[in-house]
Amino acid sequence: MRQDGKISAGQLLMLAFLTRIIIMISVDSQLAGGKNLLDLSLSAVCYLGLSLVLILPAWMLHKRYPELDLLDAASYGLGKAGQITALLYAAYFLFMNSYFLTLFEQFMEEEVNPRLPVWLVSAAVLAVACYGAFLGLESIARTAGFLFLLACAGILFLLVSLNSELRSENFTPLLYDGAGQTVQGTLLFLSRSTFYSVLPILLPKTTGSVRLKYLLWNVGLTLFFIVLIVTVCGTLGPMAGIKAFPVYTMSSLAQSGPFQRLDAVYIGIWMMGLFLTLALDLYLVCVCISHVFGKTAGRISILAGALALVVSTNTIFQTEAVQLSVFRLEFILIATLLTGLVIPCVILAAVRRKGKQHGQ
Amino acid sequence: MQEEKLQNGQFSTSLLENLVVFRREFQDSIDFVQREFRIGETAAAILSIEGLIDKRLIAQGILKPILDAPILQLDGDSKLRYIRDHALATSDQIQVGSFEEALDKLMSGFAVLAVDGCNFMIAFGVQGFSFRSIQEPSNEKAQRGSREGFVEPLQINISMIRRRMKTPQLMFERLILGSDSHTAVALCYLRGTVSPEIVQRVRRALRSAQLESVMAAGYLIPFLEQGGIFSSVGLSERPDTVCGKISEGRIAILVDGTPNVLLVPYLFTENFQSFDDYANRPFYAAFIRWLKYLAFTIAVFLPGFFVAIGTFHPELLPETLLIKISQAEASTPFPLMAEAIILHFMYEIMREAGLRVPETLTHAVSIVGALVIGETAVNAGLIGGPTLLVIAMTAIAGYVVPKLYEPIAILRLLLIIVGGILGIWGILLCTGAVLLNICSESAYRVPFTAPLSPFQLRDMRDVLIRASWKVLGKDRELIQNMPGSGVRRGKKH
Repeated sequence: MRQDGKISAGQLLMLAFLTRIIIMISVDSQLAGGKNLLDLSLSAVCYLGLSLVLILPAWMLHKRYPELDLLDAASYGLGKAGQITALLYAAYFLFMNSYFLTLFEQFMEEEVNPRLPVWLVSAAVLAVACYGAFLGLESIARTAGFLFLLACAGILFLLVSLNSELRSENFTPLLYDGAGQTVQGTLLFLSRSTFYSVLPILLPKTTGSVRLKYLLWNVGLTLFFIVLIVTVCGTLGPMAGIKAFPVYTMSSLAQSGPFQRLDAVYIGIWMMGLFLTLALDLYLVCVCISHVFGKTAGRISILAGALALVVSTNTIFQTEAVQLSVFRLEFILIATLLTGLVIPCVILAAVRRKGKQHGQ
Repeated sequence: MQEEKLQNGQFSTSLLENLVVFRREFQDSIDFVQREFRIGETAAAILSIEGLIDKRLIAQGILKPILDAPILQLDGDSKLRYIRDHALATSDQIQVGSFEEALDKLMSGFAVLAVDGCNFMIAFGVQGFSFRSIQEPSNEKAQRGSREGFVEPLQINISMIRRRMKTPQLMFERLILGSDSHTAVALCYLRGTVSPEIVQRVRRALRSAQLESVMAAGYLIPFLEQGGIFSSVGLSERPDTVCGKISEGRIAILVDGTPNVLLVPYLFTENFQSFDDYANRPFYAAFIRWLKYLAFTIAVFLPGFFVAIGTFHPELLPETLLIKISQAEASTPFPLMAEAIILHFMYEIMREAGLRVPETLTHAVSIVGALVIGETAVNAGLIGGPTLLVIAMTAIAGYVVPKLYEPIAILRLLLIIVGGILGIWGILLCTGAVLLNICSESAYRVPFTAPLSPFQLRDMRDVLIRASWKVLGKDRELIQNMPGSGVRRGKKH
């Protein structure tokens, strides 16, 4: 790898923004179990509260052992059993990548209907992601700096160009159909958040204070998401509840100057967010595998992981039954909570116990 | 004993033996001149290389004083010492003790005086070769500023820098590179400003250059950079630009025989800076800088987007524009991507031809190019007018940032191909890959993309805008203080 140094707290949060942006722009009310998309703005607020709690295990582990990442801490606290943690995390990252890629393929097939095979686009995305993973964390983080600006500018451009399309009669009262959709939406956001599993591995590689920036980042992102949801609902009205990708539908209605529709901006934002998320996750797969089998195996795992993703994603994508059983919300939620909350808590407890045994 | 000395490359006390070694080294090379004469009873010889020395200077400045000196009674060794200390005390002279040193001096335009009975020689600086006069560099013209550009001889280039930076802190280090060419290379930096760590790294990188000959500064670039699409080694022919960079903590590398000076570390944003930016008024300089960013974006992305949108996403275009393009393209036999590639290649061929043909033929090349491509190809329905317009626009835009012409030309072609095969997704992915490539580069530990990413708000005063000298002059920004560099901080003024 060309660079594998440290990144700044700002870069970490920009990376997190780009991984979160996929969740934001691919949101749909059907998966959230209702037809009132506006309720998802409440889900965003609930998610904000949860995200402040979810960071605690990673944060406490980092505060106690700033030099140890989760994998080192697992090996220290759990001995040889700790190595299974690394494999578990590698599997989780690959699983989530497969999920995000399938979602993207679904979007391409259903909405865009391109004149070229969807698997080819996925393979190209993975090829670039592999390149990024191979170049290392610093390169990915620096790229995130540029893509963050482009994504922000793109979304802002979309929102501003849709300003004239907003209709107050399109809004329905919040919680009109009860709180069910808000709860389901919160769980959906939570299940798609890989950041809490990424954080305990990346925090020791981060310089500068994360705490305040994390808080501001979360509040900003929630506000950003609420504005997006309000614009979608105000523009599309009841149609927002039945569309699979309402943010995309909204962007295809947008016009600016000589450009008829701005769905290319939407595709651009998703694609940039996706390839960077995949690059980061493949890099983390490499870190996890290196931790157990050494650096060479780690490098090979980037390519092997990408190949596995191409095959698995297309297999899952083509079989709806498999898709429904593998990518069930409960299943993803359990996997995310396990790697983002349960395992870090267990490791924290184990490390503390070991520390007490050694009189630290 | 004498033979052992000769084998070790040291001089013998016998003039004859020494001359045999020189003759053996040069074989029968016609430019090696050996003028033998006698100082009283002692045999002596002046050695030189024809074409590198001033013959009149040797005759009047060296031979005459030697022959006029009252040294007839002295032995060989004492004669040479007398010549060194009294007869020619004012000349540019260096005592040399080995064949290697003597050969190096001969190749650098010195004349070497050898006297029988002495185990050392004296080299006299009598350089007298002709070289191009100082002119304004045609590649880096400036509206306001010096009209001087570097020339080929190293010593003159050194003097041009020294004249602009009259401080003893300015340091020149000499290196010899190239096992055959023995090219003199000078490392130039400002002590106390530059990071010693960076100097050490550059020195090491240059010493690692195992080349037989160094004919141009470009030979050394691969040893100084990591290698990526964009180069992290700068090139300049302007002494004022080089001095400006040196004062920011950079290192200039001067190579004898070439007017191009290398600058390290060199960041991506510096490709958009020119000397005029700092001589013009800030608001205009900021405007020009943004114009360059825009031109760069057009030069790289416009043909790719045109092909991608025209082939895969026509719905993005306004109706009237779409109709115009489809009408123009309907009559052409090639698909949009092929048309763009053909035009791109045609343009590059014309550009190469324009660069290589004698100056008298450049007009003919441009007329043929403009008539054949601009008129006939479109009228014959072989090429669509909009495609021609797009390629012409990108070609012009590319010249706004001349330092980036090479990567722009390659990226443009790549994006046309990718846009034609994968549409807008291909363009986005290719952009992502290029961004990753740029972001992975570091110039001597300074991130190549600094100060954009990692972001440093303070440095935007010379990136997004060009602040006034009242601001820029107050606190000089040193390269090693860039964010994420990880290099020890130098003195800040």
